[in-house]
Parts: sequence; structure tokens; C-alpha cells
Amino acid sequence: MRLPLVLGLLSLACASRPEPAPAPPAHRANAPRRDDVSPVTVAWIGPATPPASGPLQLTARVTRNVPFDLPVTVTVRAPRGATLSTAPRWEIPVGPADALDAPVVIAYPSVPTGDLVLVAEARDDAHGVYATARYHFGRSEPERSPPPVTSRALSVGGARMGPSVDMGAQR
Amino acid sequence: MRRAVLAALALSLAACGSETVRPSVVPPGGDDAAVDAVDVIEVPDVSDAPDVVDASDVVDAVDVVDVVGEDLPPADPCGGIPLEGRCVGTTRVEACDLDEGAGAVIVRTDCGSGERCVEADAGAACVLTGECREGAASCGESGALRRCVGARWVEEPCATGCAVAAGVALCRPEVATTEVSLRVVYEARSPAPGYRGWSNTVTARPARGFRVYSFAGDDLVDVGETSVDEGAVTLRVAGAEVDGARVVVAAVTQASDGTLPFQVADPGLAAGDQPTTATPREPRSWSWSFPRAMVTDGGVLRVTESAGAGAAAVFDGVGVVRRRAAARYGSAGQSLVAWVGTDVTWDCGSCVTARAVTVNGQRYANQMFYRNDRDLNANAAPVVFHESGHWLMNSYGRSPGEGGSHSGSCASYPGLAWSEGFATWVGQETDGQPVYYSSSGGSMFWINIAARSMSSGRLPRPTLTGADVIASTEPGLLQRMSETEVSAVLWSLSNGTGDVEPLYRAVASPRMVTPTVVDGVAAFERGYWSHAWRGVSLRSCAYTGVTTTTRPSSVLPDFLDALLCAGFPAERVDRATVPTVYYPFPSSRPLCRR
Repeated sequence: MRLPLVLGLLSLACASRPEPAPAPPAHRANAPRRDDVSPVTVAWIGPATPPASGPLQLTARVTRNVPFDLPVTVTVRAPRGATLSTAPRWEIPVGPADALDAPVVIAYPSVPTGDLVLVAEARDDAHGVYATARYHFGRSEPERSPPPVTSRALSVGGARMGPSVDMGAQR
Repeated sequence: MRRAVLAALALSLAACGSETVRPSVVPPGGDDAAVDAVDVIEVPDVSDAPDVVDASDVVDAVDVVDVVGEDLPPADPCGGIPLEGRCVGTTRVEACDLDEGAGAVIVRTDCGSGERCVEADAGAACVLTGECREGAASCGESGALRRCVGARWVEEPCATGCAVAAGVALCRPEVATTEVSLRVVYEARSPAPGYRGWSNTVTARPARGFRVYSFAGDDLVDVGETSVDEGAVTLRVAGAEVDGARVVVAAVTQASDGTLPFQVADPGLAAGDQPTTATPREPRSWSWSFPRAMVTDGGVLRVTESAGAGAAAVFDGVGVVRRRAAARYGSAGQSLVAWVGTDVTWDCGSCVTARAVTVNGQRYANQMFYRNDRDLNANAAPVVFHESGHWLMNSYGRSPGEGGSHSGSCASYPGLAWSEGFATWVGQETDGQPVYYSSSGGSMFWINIAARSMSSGRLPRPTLTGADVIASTEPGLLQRMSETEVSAVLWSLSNGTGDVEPLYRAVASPRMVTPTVVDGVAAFERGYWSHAWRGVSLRSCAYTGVTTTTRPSSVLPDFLDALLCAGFPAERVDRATVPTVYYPFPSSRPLCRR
């Protein structure tokens, strides 16, 4: 955000009007803003590579990033072939912004092919949140790569636009 | 007993070298679509829920905190570089920006083609020095094509006769062409029912206002622009047998002088979180080249998700706001480049700044940084429109210049609450519905700005005794406030989407844009000066290192004044602010500009 042009006015109290000073020489509004802080996020904490057979101990973390005055329902969904040894659902009562951990134990004869899914949900008639995280049992998520571009650069009317996405290569 | 066991488990996990696994994206369709059969050993029952282990002493909680250094800034954090800019050599402007969250930032902007830096009283600026801008084209009287080479017009003979298509002068090649009518669409997703992530199917949305270029090799055959309703365009194309025949769809607007007042560009940066001050590497406008074989009369050109449909969605959404604003205000507004990379996220989340930048020879007054990763948030039309609302305020109104992390769950400083609340109102008004939704970090969250009265006071609301952050003309007008409260007030004032024009007029009125003189000081009537702070915790909503600046800013009470002074009914203002219970704005005593 724009800090004062005259930083020497730091001593001014918030509740008082600043001393007369010249207006900024130009109207500049440069304040980048963080616009997407989710009130609740979730994450799995555990080994990146799980044992070949269970049990596996993980931590389900639910983080209230801002004051959020709704109870949060947390659900754990096990993949096919795996069994939860801990409860699949619990509720976090209204409380201050913080990180709340709960242990999750899952048993399996061989590494599941599906994901262990953690969901935290809260809602009323005015607002809500639905947060998820997946434990992949060591599998990496499919990579996303930039689309291939043409060798020709686009330039029209003096406007240089660079290469285009090659939709022929996309087929 | 159970608590002890669970706590021990958590502690043992923390001690055995565990590592954090990055949360995954919300899967299309929510999790219901992707979850396998579940073996449940306990019946879900809240009353039998396990104890929750508070891990605050086991792991570090992650807070969203902006901190600008540990010490107070020096007297001149810019090191002598003026805010108004100075010339460095003949083709570069160097200026200092003071941003909360980043401190002093030295911004160096290269002049565009055919421009040079000139210093004047108002600061340094790039000005055109030659006859024309390099590469620009126009038609000469003789039917020749005039092209700008070395800052001078040079005529090139044109056997087919110079033509102008969609404002662009061109010399069509001597190849057979046919006319085709097309529709251009891009893939997008809607929120799943209940805002539980994104739908598991993509839909085709019309690509509105995109430029479309037809080529035969390197020769431009025709230029068109997709319609602003169905994304339709008609243009001439060369035969498929012609080498290099193709149609290129570009996320740009193009003026008759060839410049691009608005474009969505790929910054060419590596995937991951990037600062908004990062220098783009070989930036390119987002465009999609379709080989002639994919182009058929009556056909559809489809920009797929994997081809960068997110960039198309941002262009489409911002374009809506820009076109409406241009029609409303009678001018195009400030130039804008929106940065959208592949899996590139920004340290601001998504944001807009009036920090100028030069992209491929063209200067832009505004930059938008839009997060484009596995969260697929380009699908969130309210967010795209919200960011466009910041551009609108920069272009036609006046931004208070307060920024940094914020949340509707916190009461923000009046300038920040005003700018964010207004941007959200623009977003929802443009979207035609009151629910703002966004996807971030594997989480989708939403808020209905029309349901404020039903939220049982869960979001912070102003109070009759709320402390002003600076001396106020009347008590409580300059108290900290939730941006969501501001959005809700505006939504009520405009009757949702029913009566928006008075609000748009007010935000661009002199009462809101130009300071007057109050007690010998340049100020707005309600006496607010922008604030700066060294840090803010969104968990506690606590600000640290707050200072009052010398920047006069118009905020919500000024806006309400502007409305009332233009004849807006006081009872509608009261209905929106509820002055006897919440925001104590005196609708019977507006401060009008004399």
C-alpha cells in the first residue's frame, strides 16, 4: 500500500488529524491486496512415502486462518481397501483462529490406489467454506505444464504479442 | 484417556520426521465424485467425536501476516529516487513505490517503441519522439500500405489494395480466401452444488471481445473481433493448402493505432509463488493458433483447460467490466495488463496495482496479477469481476491506497474496507447475483453479501460506539469496518442489481475523486487520511505499526455524501446503514461539495 509521502509524520496519533501538508503530487494507487485468504484450510501431515502395509499414522490439520464463527465439521474418507481406526467425522466448535490437529490412523493390506480425503465444511445462510486435502500414499500429482506454443510470434499493427498456444499440437 | 492417547500419537508423529503434504486441489464435483468406497469402523456421530488435539504447542500455526521490516522505515526509504520518477538514460523511467507488504520498491519502466523519457514538473514520462510508433500501419491515399519503420512512415506497394479490418490496416496477400463464420469458446467450470468445489464437467463459455487474426504464412489476411454476446466472428481465411494458413485468437483489445489497451499476458515465470515485483521473462500475450484444418464455416474454436482457458476466462471477465465502464463513463479507462501464468501464484493472491509497466514495448498504467493454479480460480467470476472493480476505481474514481492482507472477518481500516467492499460490490453487481465465491489452497469459500441481516451478527459490524481511527466529523464514521459490511451496504443501496447507476456516478464524482480544501488543507470533507501499517494478523485482526499518512482519501461516508448530494433518497441510505443500530451515518446532514 501507499505509505505516506512524508514519513516523518509517524508520530501522529491515529485519532488526530495530521498537520497541514501538501497533497501528493499525483494520484497513485499502488496497493496490492491479498484477496483470497480462505477462512479454513486443511492439510495432511505424514510421511511422503507410506509403509507398504498399514497401519499408517497421519495428522489431519484444520486451520482457521481468520476469525470464523461457525462450527466446522471434519470428515475423513478412506479409499477402497483401507480401514480407518479413528473416527471418520468430528466437529470443531466455534473458537479463535488457530490450527487444530487430530490424529488419524488407517490400516491397509497394501498401498491403496485411491486417496485418503480430508474435508472440513462449515456453512450457514450467509457464508461458508468447503476445504479438502488428499493424501496420495506417495503418488505424485499429475504435473501441469504450460501448453506448447508456436514457433511464429504474433505481431499485428506494431503490437508484439509473442508466440501463440499451438492448438494443432493440443489435439 | 482417549485424549492422552491421541495427543501421544500426535507428538510421536511430530517427532518422527513427518513432513507436510501439500493439500490437494478441490476435485471437480467436490469429493463425492472421487471418493472410493469407505470402510467405516465407527458410525459418524458428533456426540462420539474424537477429541481434537490442539496442536498449537506442537506445530507452528501459520498466520497470514504482513510485516514490513522490523524497524521503522528510514527517513527516505527510496534512497533519493522520486515517487514521481526520473529518467535513467533516454528510454527508462525509474520511480519509487512505497507498498505495504513490500516496503520501498524501485520500479524501472522502459519506454515503448519510438518513445523516450522526458522529465517535467509532474515527473518523468515516456513520450513519442518520431512520426509514429514502430510497426504501426495505416493506409496511404494511393492504396499503398504505410508502415512505421524507424519512427517514420514508409509506403509499401500493395497489389490487392490497402484495406482496414477491425481498425487494422493490412495488405491482403494474393491468395484465394473464403469467408467463414465462427464461434470462439473457452472451457470453464461452475461451482458444484453448495459451493463444494468446482463442477466435474467443463462447459463452453463464449469468448467475448477477443481479437481474431487470419494469416497465410506471415501475411495478415483479415482481422475480426468476437461479439460480446456469443463470441461470434466472421472473417476471411486462406485455403487449407496455403502454407501457414491459420486463425489466431488473442486475449487482447487493439486500438486503431495498433496498441493493446488491455491484454492478458503470460509472464513467463516459473510455476510457484512469485512476487508482484518479479520481472516477466519474455512475456507473451495469451493467444491461441488454430491451424486452418480446424477452421470450418459455422464451426467452433475451443480453448481448452489445458491450453490456458483460465487466461481466457480472465480476459472475458475483465472485458465485461471494461466495456460496461467505457459505455457508462464515455472513456476507455486506464490501460491494463493482466498477468496469468501456468501454475503461477502471486504473493498478493490476486490483486491490482497502479504500478506502471512496459510489456513488449507498450506501457500499461495498471497491472492485475491473477492466481492460476490447481485451484482453478479463474473460474470464479466474482473474483475476476472484483479485481476489475479495483481497476475501475483506479480508472474513474480514487483508490484510498490502503492494501495488504485483508478479510471480511476482520474490521479493516476505512480506506481498505472501502476499496475492497466497493470492488466486491462491482463484482457481484456485474455477476448479477450476491454470492462471492473463491477457491484457494484446496478450499472454496463463499459469502452472500445480501444475507447480512441473516448472519446473526457473525461478521463484524460497525457499532454506534465504534472508535474512529482518526478525528471524524461525526462520531463513528471513521471506525474500522468489515469490507463485507461495505459490500452489503452498497448492495442494499443499489437494490441489488436494480439501481446501480447512482452508485457508479457517485464513485466517479469530483466529491470522491478530487480533494478540496478543508481548514487550509487538501482533504476530503469527511477528513480521512490513508493509513499505513507495518503488519496485520488476520487471525487476530490486529494491526501493528500503524501510521497516518498525508494522503487524503475519500471513503464510505464521503461516498454516501456524494450519493445524497446528488439527490439519492435518504431513507434508502438509512435502510442500508441502519444508523440507529450499526453505522451511524447522518443521512440528514450530508457534506456536499460547495
